[in-house]
Amino acid sequence: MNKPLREKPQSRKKKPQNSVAGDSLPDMMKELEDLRQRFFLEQRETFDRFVASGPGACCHDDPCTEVRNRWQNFVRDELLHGFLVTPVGPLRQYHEKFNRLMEAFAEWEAACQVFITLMTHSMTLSLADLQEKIRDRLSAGRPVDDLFPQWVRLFEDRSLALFRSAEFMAAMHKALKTKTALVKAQEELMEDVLKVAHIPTLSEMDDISRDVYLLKKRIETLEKAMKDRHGRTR
Amino acid sequence: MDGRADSCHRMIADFLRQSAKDLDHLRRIPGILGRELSAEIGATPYEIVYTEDRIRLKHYIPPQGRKIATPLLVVYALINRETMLDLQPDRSVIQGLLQGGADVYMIDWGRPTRKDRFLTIDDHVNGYMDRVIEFIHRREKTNQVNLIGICMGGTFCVMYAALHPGKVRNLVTSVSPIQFDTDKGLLHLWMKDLDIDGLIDAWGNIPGDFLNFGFLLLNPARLVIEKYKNFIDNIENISFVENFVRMEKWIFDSPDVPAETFRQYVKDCYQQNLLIRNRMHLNGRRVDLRRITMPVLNFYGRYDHLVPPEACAPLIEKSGSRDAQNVCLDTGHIGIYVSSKAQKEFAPRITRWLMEREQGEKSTAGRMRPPRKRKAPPPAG
Repeated sequence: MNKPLREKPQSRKKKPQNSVAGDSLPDMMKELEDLRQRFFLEQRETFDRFVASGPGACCHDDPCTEVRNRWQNFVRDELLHGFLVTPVGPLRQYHEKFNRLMEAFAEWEAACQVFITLMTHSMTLSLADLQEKIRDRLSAGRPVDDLFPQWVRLFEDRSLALFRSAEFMAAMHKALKTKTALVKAQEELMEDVLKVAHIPTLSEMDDISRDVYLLKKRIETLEKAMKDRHGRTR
Repeated sequence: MDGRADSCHRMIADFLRQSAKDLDHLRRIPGILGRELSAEIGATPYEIVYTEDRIRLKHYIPPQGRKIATPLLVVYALINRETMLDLQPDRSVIQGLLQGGADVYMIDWGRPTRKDRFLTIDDHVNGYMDRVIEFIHRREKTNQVNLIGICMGGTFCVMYAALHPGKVRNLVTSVSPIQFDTDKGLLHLWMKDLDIDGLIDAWGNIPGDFLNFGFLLLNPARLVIEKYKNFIDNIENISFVENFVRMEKWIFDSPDVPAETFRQYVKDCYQQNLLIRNRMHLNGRRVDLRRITMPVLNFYGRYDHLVPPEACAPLIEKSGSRDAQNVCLDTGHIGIYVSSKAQKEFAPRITRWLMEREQGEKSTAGRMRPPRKRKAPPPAG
């Protein structure tokens, strides 16, 4: 049960030596200024991609992946890193269970993000398809009507193709797997809380239900055997 | 260039006009849904004649007298509720069966709770179903029933008919999966690698809401987006709104499914496809489809996205019945029971078919099964 000390996540990149700011105040100010500029530049690039017109405007999967990765790194490296220390002392087992819950939550959240991103991706692709269709029709000078039914058809095609892909199925199964791990971790913790409060836990209730179920089955079998026996002796 | 500008202006004008209309309809929704709507489901009168644990047996009496002597038992799936067969007075399979002169019994599986998690398929088929049928035998002073199984309920009926062929006079299955090894339906694909043990260990019974989410996910474009857009478009049509609310009431009224039953259904059927290979066992007894020797009428929907024709049609080939036929309707999984077109075909065809067999017209007319070469029509689209 003893959990080893959590290794430092691999993704935490060490800063290159040459990028370390100097100790002097002007160096630190320069570093801060660079950071501010990079931050605004990134924001502006993302914004430009969002407002761009044409079919490419919808295909902004890169920023989504980037945002998702950054968030996950933040959760794993910054948020959980503070919590997930090796538990010691008399409350160690409760601490361990809490750690398992935190980890399960982080894994479920990451899996959900991948799953939701995939889901929304088929929608963005269908919107890009629609843009393409509109552009073709406008170029040909043909009327563009019934946009909504057209988009529904395109979205249906895209999503049904996605749902058959190995990528989607892997994402869905991972989301389910991490969800069940989360439920189990919650349950473990809740069992302790209920025990402290002298309230029957789910596993205890399940044990009783199983006993009742098996007893009913035995009674049925016995009743049937008795009926058959009476039938034979008559 | 002028044509392009014209088309562009017209498109924008249409879009704005439609948006204004949609907004106006959206504003009206609270007022219309706040009214008293006639949206009752399951309104056909019945009496409860048998109860056991969570199970209830409903009995409907034909208003114009019974024309089919053998009582008819309807077995619905454990997923969603049997009220779908009696959704509204003019679209009710139950009413259709009653008008055809059938004496209808229907199992209401109730709402499983945590304590029901250990119930297996055997408990439902050889337990509840068998005891319900024994009860009907005693009540009606008969030794056979006609069975109609819907979806998963149909799969249960197939198992029952194979294990107790003497108790079933005629078997009708509707959109009932038998052949699970197909890649036509998304559900069949998704179930293949599902970690069902993990799900059940975590949740116990499978929550109805989880299943609903899965069903919506099968086609979000139609089931989530287009459906509600249609609702907004038709908000002024009270009859449409009432039908819509009825359907919503049914769709999102989903009991949980007992854990062990679901585990066995997924593992034995979806993942190992044991049923059609005559290798499925219920409490140690092998389910051999060749023992289904009574007449079989097998319905399925050409556009069924949940249980595709390929999953249903092989029943007649695999059963031992000499009087078995497939009926493919041009509709989907739910449309069979609720579309006005299928209403005219589904229940009347069942009662006519039962009556023909009751009168013995075709009971000894030789092999009525279509030649083995005949395959189910492929699903369109």
